[in-house]
Amino acid sequence: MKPANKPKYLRELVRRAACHAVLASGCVVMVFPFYWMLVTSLKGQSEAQMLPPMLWPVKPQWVNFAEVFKAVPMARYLMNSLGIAVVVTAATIVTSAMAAHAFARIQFPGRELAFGLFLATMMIPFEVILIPDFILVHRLGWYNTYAALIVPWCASVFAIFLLRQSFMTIPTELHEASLLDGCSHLRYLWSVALPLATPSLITVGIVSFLGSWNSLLWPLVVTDTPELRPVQVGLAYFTTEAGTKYHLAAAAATVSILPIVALYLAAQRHFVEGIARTGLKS
Amino acid sequence: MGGHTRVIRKYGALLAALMVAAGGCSSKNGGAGSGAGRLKIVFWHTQTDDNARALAELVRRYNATNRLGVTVEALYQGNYDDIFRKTMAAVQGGKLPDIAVAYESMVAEYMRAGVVLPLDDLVNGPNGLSKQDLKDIEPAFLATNRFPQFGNKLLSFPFTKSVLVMYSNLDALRAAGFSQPPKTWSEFWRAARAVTKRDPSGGPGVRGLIISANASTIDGWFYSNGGRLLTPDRKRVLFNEPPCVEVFSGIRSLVDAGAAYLTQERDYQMEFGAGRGVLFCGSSTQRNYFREAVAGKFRWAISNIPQRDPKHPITVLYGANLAIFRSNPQRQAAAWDFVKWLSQKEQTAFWAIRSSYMPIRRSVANMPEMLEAWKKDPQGKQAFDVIRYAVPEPNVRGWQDVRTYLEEALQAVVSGTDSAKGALDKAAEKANQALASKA
Amino acid sequence: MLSRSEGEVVSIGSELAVRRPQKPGPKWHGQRRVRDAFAAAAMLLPAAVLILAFHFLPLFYALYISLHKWSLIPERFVGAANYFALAHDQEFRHSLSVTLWYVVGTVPLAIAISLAIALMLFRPLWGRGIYRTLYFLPYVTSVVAAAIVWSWMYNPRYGILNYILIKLGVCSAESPPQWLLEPRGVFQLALQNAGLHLPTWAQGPSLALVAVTIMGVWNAIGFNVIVFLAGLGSIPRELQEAARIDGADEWKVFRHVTLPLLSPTTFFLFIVSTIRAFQAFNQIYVMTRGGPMGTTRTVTMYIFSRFYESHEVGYGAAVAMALFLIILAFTLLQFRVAAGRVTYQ
Repeated sequence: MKPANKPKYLRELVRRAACHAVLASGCVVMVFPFYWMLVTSLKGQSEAQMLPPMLWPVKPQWVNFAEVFKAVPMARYLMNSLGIAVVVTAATIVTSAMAAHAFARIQFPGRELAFGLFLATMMIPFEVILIPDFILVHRLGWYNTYAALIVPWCASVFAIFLLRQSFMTIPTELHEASLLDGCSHLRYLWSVALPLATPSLITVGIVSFLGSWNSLLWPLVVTDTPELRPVQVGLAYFTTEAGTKYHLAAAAATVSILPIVALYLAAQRHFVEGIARTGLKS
Repeated sequence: MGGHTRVIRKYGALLAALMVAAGGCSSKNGGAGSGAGRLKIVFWHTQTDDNARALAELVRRYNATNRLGVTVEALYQGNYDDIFRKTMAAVQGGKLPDIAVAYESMVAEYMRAGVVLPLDDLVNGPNGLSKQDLKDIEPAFLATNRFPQFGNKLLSFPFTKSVLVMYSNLDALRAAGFSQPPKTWSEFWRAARAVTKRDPSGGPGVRGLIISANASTIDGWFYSNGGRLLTPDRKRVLFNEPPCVEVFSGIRSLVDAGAAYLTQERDYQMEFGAGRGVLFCGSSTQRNYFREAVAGKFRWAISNIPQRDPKHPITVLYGANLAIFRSNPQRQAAAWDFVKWLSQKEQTAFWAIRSSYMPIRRSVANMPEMLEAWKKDPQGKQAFDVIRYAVPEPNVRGWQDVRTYLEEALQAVVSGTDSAKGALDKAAEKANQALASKA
Repeated sequence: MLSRSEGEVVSIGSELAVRRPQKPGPKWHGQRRVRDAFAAAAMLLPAAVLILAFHFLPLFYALYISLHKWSLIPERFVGAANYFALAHDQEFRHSLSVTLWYVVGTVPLAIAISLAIALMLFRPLWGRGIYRTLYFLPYVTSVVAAAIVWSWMYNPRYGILNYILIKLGVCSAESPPQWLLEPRGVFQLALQNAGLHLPTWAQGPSLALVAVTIMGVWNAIGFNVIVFLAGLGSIPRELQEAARIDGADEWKVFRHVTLPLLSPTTFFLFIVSTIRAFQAFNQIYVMTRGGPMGTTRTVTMYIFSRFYESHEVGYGAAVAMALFLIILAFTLLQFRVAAGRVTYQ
């Protein structure tokens, strides 16, 4: 190494060490609640709330997981959650990308007002829309069907907003040029905008998926029977009027999270690739 | 084309397959036993875990044996909050079930909305309860389902009932010179102080009373100290009168003496089991969790809460009831038939044995299977013996708000933010407003 | 069409400089405007229908309800009476102050911390993928499950937090901090040992509210980090490299290149985080149910208690409309403040 580079190399090393120190300690805080949940799911019932709290179970009770699957139709719940979340996510991406493009690159009368109205719907507390939505779903004859669980969530203002921001950072020349070439808006969207906005697209996908996966109240309200219910309802099973079986509740919660973590790990690769795709040296 | 098309193609097939599968699995409530011509009754409940299994067994038996050709479908709909939300939504735009569990406060709202069916006609009708039945069912359980503001009609029927009791650590009491759980309030204050032990090494030590800020417990305490909650015309509250203030001041001085403390949610079960708290007042339903926490480490018992006048003991009830919703005479009769069947001796005993709820009939106490169960659950028998002293809590509309104000008043007193009189006066003011707005 | 091969984003401009055809005339523009309007309508339609039906119309229904005295069913039309009562409602004002503490406590802090983390995770660093996953984890769990775990950790007796604090000698085992059970204000608690007593309005948010806020920040970080990462990913490296070559140090690069180019993302996060903070419900419900003594009763908790405890749906709807207007006002304010500061390319 050239002597001139040495101090720079050292500085970089120190910075990296500092980064690791900060990130690692931050990680402990971020991850500790999970660790606690995981550990609790392996404890016995009385162990689960002891003083002093045990940081590791005396003997890992893997049987807790089996009990969870026995107590509630967890497998079915997981399938429901997965199916619903996948459809909702795909539909959200489609509807929101189109709408985001309209807001970002198409001039039409009332554009600002329309965007404002869309944004306003994010500000309505859920409790307020619960009952009117329920009434609508009932009138449509969707009570206790997958349609009720899926359709209302196939468009997301959050997604539209995020994608709009992302689309707006793409140089307008690209859009102009594509229009002059005779491209339709959809074609531009498909070939130019979406690939360039991949990280945001993935973010939207993850957020939609999670939003669907984690919803509890709506599925409870619009369904009657266990066959349709998602995994969150299964989690509520271990809390009774008289008390909570913490070790089983934690095990159920862990089971409900694992598919997501797996999915994220898979999507993470695309995330990294997406980020690397833009900004390469020419 | 871009790489993203390939990605979509790869996952698109999977997606399509999932959608087809999802579309195929429709929501048919196939359900057991729904043959042609059978009337299906929908029952919304909040039971999970072991209780849910016991309930499912009861429903199965009913469906197999009833002579009306009725099939009951029992569906879990979340906890009490959730079930109330669902019912509210259903009242406004959906389909109500035939039967749902409900607290008295909810039933009052249902009545106001005109959706619940008063039961007097059914109880006194051809398929009703006999005089013997009515004598056998604990009067308090029925009384709590009568609503004075609606002409004293019976609007719901007892189901998952329990009673406010006191849990005591007998060994700790004995060591402090008390051979049995305190019966009177003065004994109670003394006992709590006597068992309190500080830990010289700075640990948590032992304290007399574990407090949980629960409105029903507070109501019971006020009644048992000779206080009143509501004026007879149900328009104003009376809990800022001296007997009630006395209870709160007593608690405050216990806290000051280090002999009482508040716990987070259900921790009192663990605290009691670890011997860190000696006395606790709460619902009899939790005794199984207490038993597990104690794990045989010491002797413990259930008894009535402390009384001002031991010759006229008094306590209150906990638990939910069954409400039947209006539909048509045929469905209503079928729903009632199920409710009535549940209240029969065999079912009451089965339900009480399998769950930790109280049997609603007195005669159950003589049944061999009940006595057998009580051998393993002596505290259950002890709680059962307290029921005869229970009275209903107010169920006037607006009382749900008042419960919150009472709990907050206790929290204020325990945390030292307010005096007993001050806290109760403030709560009374808010309570009177709430009652007035609902009149 | 344009050949969009990877990595040629910036060089497209130069390509266009060579390729640009004749500028089109006014007739073409006019036709385009009409086609645009149709195209816009078509592209907006699916989203618009869904959002209108399931998110916007309920707003009008809520407005309708708020004009009535409505328990489980409408009782009578009362016009603006609910709103008048709201203006004098002390509990509402209190819930508003609780909400403001919560919003101010969570939003700026979560965004600042997340930005720092995202920046660190963006540079090449060993274990970056692992870190990213771990930082994302809080966001993955349902808020309910996370809140349950946090309330276990905050448990004054059995929680790991007090266990550590007691072991470190920071507090006594006899009366450790009561966290979610503590209704007294943090400023008052801090000055307790000094024997001072603050007036009620100066006692500050309760310890319970602070505890809930910390959980809120924790929860938001995961989400903010991945949005920031996506935003950082769309900043062309060349600009940052160019600045570095020009001799700027890291801080200058950050302040003059990265931050401005990140502003659309930052703006987005401020808007969305604020809205979410105003509407936070599940974690508060699970951890404290609005207690102790109402010190964590935010406006959404207040709405909930009006709906399901007092059964005053009409009044609750009025409170919800008030909340909606407040959030709207905040958002408009943020749009105004941001107007000059957000740079798109």
